[in-house]
Amino acid sequence: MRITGKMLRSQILNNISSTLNRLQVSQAQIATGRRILKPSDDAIGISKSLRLKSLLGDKQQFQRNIEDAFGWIDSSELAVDSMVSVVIELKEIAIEGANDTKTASERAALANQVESLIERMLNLINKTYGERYLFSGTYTKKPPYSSSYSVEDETLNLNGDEWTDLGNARIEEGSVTVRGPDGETYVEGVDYEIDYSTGRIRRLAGGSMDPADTFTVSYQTETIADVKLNVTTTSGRINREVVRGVYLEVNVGAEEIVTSEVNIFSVMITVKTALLRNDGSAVNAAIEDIDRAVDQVSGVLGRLGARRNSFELASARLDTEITNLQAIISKIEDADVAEVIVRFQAQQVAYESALAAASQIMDMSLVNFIG
Amino acid sequence: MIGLSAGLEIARKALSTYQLAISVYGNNIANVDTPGFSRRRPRLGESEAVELSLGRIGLGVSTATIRRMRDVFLDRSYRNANASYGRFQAMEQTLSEVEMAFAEPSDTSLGSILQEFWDSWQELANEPESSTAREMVIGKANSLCDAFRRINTNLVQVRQNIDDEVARQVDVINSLASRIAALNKQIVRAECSGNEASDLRDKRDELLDELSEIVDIRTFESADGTVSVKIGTEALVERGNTVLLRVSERADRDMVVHDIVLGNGDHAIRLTGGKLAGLIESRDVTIPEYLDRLNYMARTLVEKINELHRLGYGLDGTTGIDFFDPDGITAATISVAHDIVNDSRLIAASTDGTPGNADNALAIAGLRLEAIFGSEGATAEEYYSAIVGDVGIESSRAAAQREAQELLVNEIENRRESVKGVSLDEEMTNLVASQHAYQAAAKLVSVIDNLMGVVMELL
Repeated sequence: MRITGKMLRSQILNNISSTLNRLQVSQAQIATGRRILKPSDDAIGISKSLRLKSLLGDKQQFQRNIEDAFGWIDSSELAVDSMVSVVIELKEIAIEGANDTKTASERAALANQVESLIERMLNLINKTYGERYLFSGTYTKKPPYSSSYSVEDETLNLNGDEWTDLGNARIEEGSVTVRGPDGETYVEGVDYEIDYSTGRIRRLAGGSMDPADTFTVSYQTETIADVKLNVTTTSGRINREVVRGVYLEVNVGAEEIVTSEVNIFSVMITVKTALLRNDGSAVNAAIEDIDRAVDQVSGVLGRLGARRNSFELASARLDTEITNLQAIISKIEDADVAEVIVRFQAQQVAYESALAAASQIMDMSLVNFIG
Repeated sequence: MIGLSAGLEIARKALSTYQLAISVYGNNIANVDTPGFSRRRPRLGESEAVELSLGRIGLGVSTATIRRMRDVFLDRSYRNANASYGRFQAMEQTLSEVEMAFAEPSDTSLGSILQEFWDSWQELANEPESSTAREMVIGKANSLCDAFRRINTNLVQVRQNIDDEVARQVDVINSLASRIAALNKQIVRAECSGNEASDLRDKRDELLDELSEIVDIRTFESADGTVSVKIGTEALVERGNTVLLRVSERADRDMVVHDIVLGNGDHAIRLTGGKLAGLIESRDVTIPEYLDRLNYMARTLVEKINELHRLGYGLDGTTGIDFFDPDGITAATISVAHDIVNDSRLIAASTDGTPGNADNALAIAGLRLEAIFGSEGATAEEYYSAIVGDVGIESSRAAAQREAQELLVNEIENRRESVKGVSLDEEMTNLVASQHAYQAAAKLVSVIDNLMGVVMELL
């Protein structure tokens, strides 16, 4: 084949520019640390890495969900653990209060302690996490329980002219209204009389109350008279997705803690009232319910622990999977810097020798030798 | 017996022949780097001999012709290969712009934002009462819509640029065709004397080379030296006449695109090769395909998310609300519903209206891994990664084809150059040879002059 100077030059130029091109690619890989800079660099690789990244993102989100669940469960455990101590303290007070040697004033002091236990219990059951009520089910904007110092519509029968116990002691004087079955009201001192300090009522002979009727009593008290559920239900589940399609429950409903076997608040008010009435045997009778309350709250604590375990297991598994995925993605996307640098140096040598050869060849011409 | 004066005649012819040869070589040397130039060769021939009793004696040298060194077959191969090269080059260019439109891999690409969008629903599920989490969902959804719109705008822009380029190339073709037709006329005039109009032919061949990169042409040379040029079956240049191309406008996908029509024809001509074919294919097939897939993805996302969202309840208990604007079902128009943007409490995270319930947010987050895209069932991210993968595959294939075709074009060009190119070494050698021949012929004149002097003295 006949070779002309132009062919030689364009060949040299082609070689130099393609070497330079490869040099530039290696340089970009070194500078960015990435092997794939645009989809066409490795189309299969990029579509694979996009898919893997999506999987990775998913798992990282699950991991964040679990972190959040831990926060929730931590707060719940802390609260329920304190509730266990509250109920145990209640039991100690009850045992002390049931002792026959206790005087009325000693029992009244114990009743004060029970009152503060009720307040503590209420604070615990209304505990918030962030701005959400932990135990309200899905009604997270409202506290699950609220206390009141009044009793509406307590029903009772008044047989004969015996004293009958109201639900509470220490009733505000003058706060009592009594209604008959047809809504008719009765007059204190004429139809009935009240012992405000012990919370008892007695029908007065000569009054207009019919012993066969059922009466409705409303009154105010000096201490907490009632603790009521504040929301429709606390059984709404709050879930965290921890693995694709697997939802774990993070919340415990207040009702599960307070009323699943015995109503803890009712037991507390019963004990308090019995102490205020200086009624040792009634206090003694409540101890059995207190024991069941201890079991009830401890049971919840156990279930929370088991729940934490499930989250921990899921978290550990996710950790391994995330590490593996990151390794695979890095393998696809990242440049092996050592390898690229070796290649870069080889290309540099090639480029320099191409330049050197070109400068030698382009100098050569017959013209140089013809005088 | 021939006379001394015949010897002088031989010397005269040799002198003028080598003078001519020297100017041909000189012209070759002068044009060593002129594009399109093909080297010339003086073809020397012996003058007709005379018959003597002792045998035939030559009467010197003469120049038969000055020939242009050219291989018509290689020209044709070059132009065919060049047409394919032009097409692949145009497609590679387009696809690399499409690639840039998707901007993968990066943290701001649609792929990354899509992932953050799903994550924001999970975060909302963790804290359905929080207005921060709600605003986050809206923020990520807005970014998602922006990403769709950005890719769409970029693709439409690429398409618009291609269409502008198509219209521009039509002007280039027309200009080339007119110049070829003009050269046809000049060549006929110049060659009626019987001599090859090498310079004009070189120019015409260069124009044909240029034309072949833009459009797939076929050329036919007639006996009178004119070349007719056809695109497909339709004539572009016929001897000295040109049928000019023009563009006709057509509405397509919210854009006016230009079809190419020949002369007074009413239909778009079909192109199989050349840059123009690559441009038109990119404009009418490649980019619309990606736009379709992007639109489909946007529409499916909007419909599926709205469908679930309508079932849920907002913080204020409203239900039946769309999350995305239900009218925005293309990549260009996708947007978050106005009401939602104005009031994040309307985001329906709850399935029963209680504020702590986030089952609907979880259900929407769960769409992430549901195979609701395409006939074969892919998740949103799989569907998107398939698009990006295809862009990459097509782009790298076009680059590989362009590269292979470029090698082929270079190879043919090398072979062509091997025939037509000027080698300085060769020209110098020829020059030296001619110089010596010229010197020798001059010497011959002086020898004959001497001889004639001898004869004169005898008188």
